[in-house]
Amino acid sequence: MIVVVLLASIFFAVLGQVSFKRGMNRVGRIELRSVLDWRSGVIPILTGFVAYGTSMVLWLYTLSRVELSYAFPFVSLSYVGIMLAARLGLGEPVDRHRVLGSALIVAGVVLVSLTR
Amino acid sequence: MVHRPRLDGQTLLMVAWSVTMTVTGQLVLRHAMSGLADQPFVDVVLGAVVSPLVWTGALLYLLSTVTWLVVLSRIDLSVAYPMGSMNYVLVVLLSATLLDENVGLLRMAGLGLILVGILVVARSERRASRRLEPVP
Repeated sequence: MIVVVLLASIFFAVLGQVSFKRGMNRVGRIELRSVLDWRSGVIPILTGFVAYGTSMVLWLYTLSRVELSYAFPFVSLSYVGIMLAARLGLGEPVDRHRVLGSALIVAGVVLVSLTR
Repeated sequence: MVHRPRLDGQTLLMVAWSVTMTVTGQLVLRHAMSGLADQPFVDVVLGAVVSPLVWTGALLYLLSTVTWLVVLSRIDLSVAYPMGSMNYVLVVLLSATLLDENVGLLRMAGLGLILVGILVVARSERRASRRLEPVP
């Protein structure tokens, strides 16, 4: 059951990362004199903060329940999550190496998940 | 993507700082949170909010994240990913030695697969950045 919380924590970390990227894509290159233009990216950036906060709360709850050497390897799933988000959300191409690497990461996390 | 220089001393120092902050932060967080085991969700969250150790761990995590973002702006992902994978090795090693966690063969095997996977992803990033390199 705690694995679900753990996976949700990683999911929200990835969502936060992608939201920040979407927000900053809208804002564009930051110039000090154009701080007002930050308004254009405010919703994705706020989403990013909320997602990161949610991820942190779930992470802390996880750490109250399981060993760090059990939980931390799950963080590597963010490589897979960001690849999926880039493919599905941004239409970026995904080559064979990235698919193979992701499969290895998932297999490794499955092994770790069996060790509780 | 602009092709960036591979690595300089300053960036290497930032990587070392970021990895150190991540590993220390996570060890501190686990140490603090293990005291709240077996309590319901709300009590765990409230306990975390009032714990100076948790705030310390969160601050270290923030320092590592900010530094890592600067690192990513200076070097290619194909170089950054393998170095970042040191986080996994150190967190597991230090959990075993400092927190007395039981790291068995299966967990180590899983960690090994993850590290190989990250290297393979990094290889793909290198190809991607090569394709975008301008013709001289």
